[in-house]
Amino acid sequence: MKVRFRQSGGFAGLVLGCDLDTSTLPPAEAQELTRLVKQANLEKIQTRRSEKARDLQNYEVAVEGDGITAKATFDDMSSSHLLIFHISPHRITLRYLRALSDV
Amino acid sequence: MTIEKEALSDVGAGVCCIIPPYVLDHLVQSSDARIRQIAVDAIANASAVRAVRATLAMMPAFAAVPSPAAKRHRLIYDAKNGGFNELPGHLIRSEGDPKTEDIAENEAYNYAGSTYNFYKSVFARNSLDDHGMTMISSVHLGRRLNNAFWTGEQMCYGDGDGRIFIRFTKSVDVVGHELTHGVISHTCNLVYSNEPGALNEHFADVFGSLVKQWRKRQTAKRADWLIGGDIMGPDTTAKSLRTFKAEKAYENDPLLGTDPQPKHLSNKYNGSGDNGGVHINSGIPNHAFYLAAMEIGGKAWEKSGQIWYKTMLKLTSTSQFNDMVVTSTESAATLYGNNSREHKAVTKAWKSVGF
Repeated sequence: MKVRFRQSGGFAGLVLGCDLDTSTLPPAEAQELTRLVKQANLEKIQTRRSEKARDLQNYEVAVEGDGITAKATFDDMSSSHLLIFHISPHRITLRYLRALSDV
Repeated sequence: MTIEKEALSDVGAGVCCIIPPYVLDHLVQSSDARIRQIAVDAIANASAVRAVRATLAMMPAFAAVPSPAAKRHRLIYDAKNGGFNELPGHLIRSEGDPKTEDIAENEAYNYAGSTYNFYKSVFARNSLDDHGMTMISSVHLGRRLNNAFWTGEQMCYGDGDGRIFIRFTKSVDVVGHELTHGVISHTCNLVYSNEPGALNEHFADVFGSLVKQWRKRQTAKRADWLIGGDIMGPDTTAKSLRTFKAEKAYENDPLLGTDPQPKHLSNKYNGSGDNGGVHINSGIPNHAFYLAAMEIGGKAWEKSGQIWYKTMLKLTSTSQFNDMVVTSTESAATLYGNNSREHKAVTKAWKSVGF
């Protein structure tokens, strides 16, 4: 399974992200990533944008493989309560979190 | 914690309408009849809320909170590190109240006041909607949030992670930028993607920067023309986030990389990130504004600011860069005369950035 994550926008306009492939990750991480992707139900998100808001951080997650082909784009407000992948800008670590609890 | 448990705890707390539809869709398929019923009820509520929100998005003026006396009125809330759906948080200071011990609160209050005073005295504009709407700010949103933004109804400020950024209230231009998003939504209401979106960001940066220059009574020549100069943290070499000048705000920074803003049309970003580069391509008109202000000379809010303010009122929600060029050039001619120094300076500035 391949996972592409991009964060853009925000007041700072910084573009962050990473491209992950479960076939090149350590088995435990690959398993966790696959579990998270399946749980996040990305197919149902598609595009969610807060139309009136300005300077929100935007996220794009694209997944291909393991029977899933999905691309979801959303922002901090439209993703409140969505379960997203958080990728630290410093270390590429995937964490399972609610967008609102630790943005 | 599983999806079901999280979502249900929120349903139990009586905030069902904020659960996103996809979670509810998931819950509707639950094998537990009680969970199904809760989800069905929540969907009914959420649909109603979404319909109201969609209507408000079309008419931003209706969403404005009127202030008691239709004059400067600030409310500052403490989000207490809560999330986006707990906004605005706890009210900690109203207009005229004494200051608190909280630095972010003081800055949000004072700089919102400066921004109000700037628009009132320079453009005779009474708050964001020109009808004295209340300016609402929430500080301490989220945990280590590296952002400041406008929700469509209020300003929100994160504390920063303490590494790349510190608190976002510290730069008056950041506060002026966010409030200007409110002014834009009540005027030309530029769509927030591609060129109209970059123009939206451009106006927010221009008037954010002018609030700072006006506070300091600085001439264009003496101004630093930086955005976010006071919010940078100790772990970055960047002195600011953006600059109106030709140079890069930062280069090869270990955390931030290189400032992506182009300063010439030929380097325009054409990707899909950042809503089509709204924070990136704003660099092109930003640089044109700087060149015009430097050429005109004096204090930038006095003439260049007037030209840009008039332009902002004349543009529409789908205006492109070319419309901006034409309208600002016309505005300069209308305000200061055809072939005036100001008119020529604006024409020359746009030419320098590729128009």
